[in-house]
Amino acid sequence: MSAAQTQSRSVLAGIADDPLLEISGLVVETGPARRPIELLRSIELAIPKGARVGVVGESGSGKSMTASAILGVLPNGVRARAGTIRFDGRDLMTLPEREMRRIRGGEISLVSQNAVASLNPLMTVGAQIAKVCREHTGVSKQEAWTRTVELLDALGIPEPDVRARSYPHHFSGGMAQRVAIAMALICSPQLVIADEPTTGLDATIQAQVLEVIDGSVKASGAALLLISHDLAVIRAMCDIVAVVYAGSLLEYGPADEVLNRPLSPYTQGLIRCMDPPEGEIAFIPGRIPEPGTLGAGCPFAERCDRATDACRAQQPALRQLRPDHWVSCHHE
Amino acid sequence: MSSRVDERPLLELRGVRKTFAPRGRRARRTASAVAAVDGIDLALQAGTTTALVGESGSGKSTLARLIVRLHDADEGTITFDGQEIQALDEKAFRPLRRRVQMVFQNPLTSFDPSQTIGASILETMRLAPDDEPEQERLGRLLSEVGLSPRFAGLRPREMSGGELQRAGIARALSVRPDLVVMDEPTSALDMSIQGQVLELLADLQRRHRLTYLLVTHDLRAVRMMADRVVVMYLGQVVEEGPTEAVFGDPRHPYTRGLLYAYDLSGRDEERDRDVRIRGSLRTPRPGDVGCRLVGRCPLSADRCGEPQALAELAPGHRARCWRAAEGQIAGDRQPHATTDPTDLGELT
Repeated sequence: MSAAQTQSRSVLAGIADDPLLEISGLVVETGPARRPIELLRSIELAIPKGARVGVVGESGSGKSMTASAILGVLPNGVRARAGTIRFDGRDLMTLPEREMRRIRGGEISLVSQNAVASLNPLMTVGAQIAKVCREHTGVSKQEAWTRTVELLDALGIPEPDVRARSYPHHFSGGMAQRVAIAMALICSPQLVIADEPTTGLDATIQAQVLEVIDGSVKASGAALLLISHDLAVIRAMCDIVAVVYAGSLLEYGPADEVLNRPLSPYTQGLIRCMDPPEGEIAFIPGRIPEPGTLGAGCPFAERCDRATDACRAQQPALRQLRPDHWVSCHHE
Repeated sequence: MSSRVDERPLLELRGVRKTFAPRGRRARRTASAVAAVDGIDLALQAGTTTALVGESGSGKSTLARLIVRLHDADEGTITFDGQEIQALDEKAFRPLRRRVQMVFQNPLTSFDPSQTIGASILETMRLAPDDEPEQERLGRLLSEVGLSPRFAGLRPREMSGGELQRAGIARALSVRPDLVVMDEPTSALDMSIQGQVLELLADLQRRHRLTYLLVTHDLRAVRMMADRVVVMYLGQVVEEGPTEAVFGDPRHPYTRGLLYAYDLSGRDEERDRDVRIRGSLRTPRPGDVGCRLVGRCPLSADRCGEPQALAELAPGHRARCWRAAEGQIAGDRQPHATTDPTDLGELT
């Protein structure tokens, strides 16, 4: 990649002197090169060191695709066409696979939605976690096992030395998610990506798992990128919120600001859906656009009650309207 | 929301019980039978919405399947519009099957992928023939759920989740049912779309005087839709009452814990100690007769090992907990509000 590209900075870079992770102008597409379908149109993101950033969006918004791009594991047939992903001074998009492999699971780790499916059913959970630890840190087998049991204990798994010798199918959903969290934390990563970590869990278990993520991330000092469709989860966990819609970042700012004084009409609608006024049923009219069907305008224009011709003609650039609070909207 | 109460409920369940026995020799040796639904009484008034709330393993989906008779109950009676359906054979039940319809959680898997939406709906619609020409009736049904006629020619894969769920509702309505049982009808939909479907359901209810049983873990949907709420835990009803009463003044520790778990923002140490549900679901052992929340409940005591009755706390508001019955649990924000005599006065 050219020097000009590696130096391109996100407009969001202004939030902290040197964000741990910074995504600028990321475009991800699929389909034939001559008629590509854009899955991510213009994603910007900044994660300061040790911060908790929540990415909220609905299906097709690109929130999980962004995580895949960061980890360099885009699905077959999907490619990044433009943009940079700066992590700790390096551009992840240009790193050779060998180095990416060191970063994945070591410096950046992932907690995915379906913990049981993400674990190897033929290995005890302790052996799996210890293996990750040995591969990235090179400690002895004994040391890796000791660390594993200690971590399981810290994450609230009863009888950790016994449970470490159990197989994934012996664990309930909530307990399996703790195991996945342990695997993500064992190498003391700088960034933990949690993609819908509690979706599909019962409410009482969800609250417990969020508490475990909260406590363990705090204790390790890692930054957290929490991806969720659930604003309530984001509100409870994050200090920065990014709102994505149909492959574009629409709003970014401090959680208090974005959730209590949202600037984007989409964020406003979403908050209303989550917490409708008494006796009212809230929704946003219309449907979520299919990838490849969007014109040059604002992706939300079709469903926005404030949309004008300008909105339909041109996608608004990100603008900083309040301190550390950016929005992509022609209004205000 | 209607407060009017008919003389006779449209659907009434009494002492309904359904047990699933472990399959296979080895399983039978090591595991005991689980009563998924364990002695449920329930009454649905015509034209109202009742929500069945609970987490996985609560038995809410089994109960829904018993009502549409996808399962047969082991014990108890299920009376629909004056007729006891458990006693009917398949042939005698058929006329009733039309009147009780179901809307499923995942609209993509509840439609035949190889057929057009129109063909799928027509297939169901033919169970309730009338004089109106089929195609006209199909077009009218689609427009009633907010879909243009062109959707009749599409296959499930070509539609969004919200559109498919509308088609699922059109299919359920095509046979002019009285009772619609909905199993998580909005849980698979995006947040901005869920309200569209709920709004449609509310509108259809007003127009056709439909009775809804809404089975869900989504308390937001319940708040928006339901007149009454029934909270289930491990096969039993632990609390039931008007929605405002159960959400505004929950009396069973499980209901309180559930509401607390959803309210991710309002957490503090004191409430954590008094309200939070601990651990995870545990299957009761044979011979356990007491409250099933023992071990997870922050207020457990010896007396909880005794059988707990569903006690009436206010008109129509019942809870299965001796502490609630004695007025020890009152007011959501005051877990131990026993010192204030006015709180107790309301209960007796």
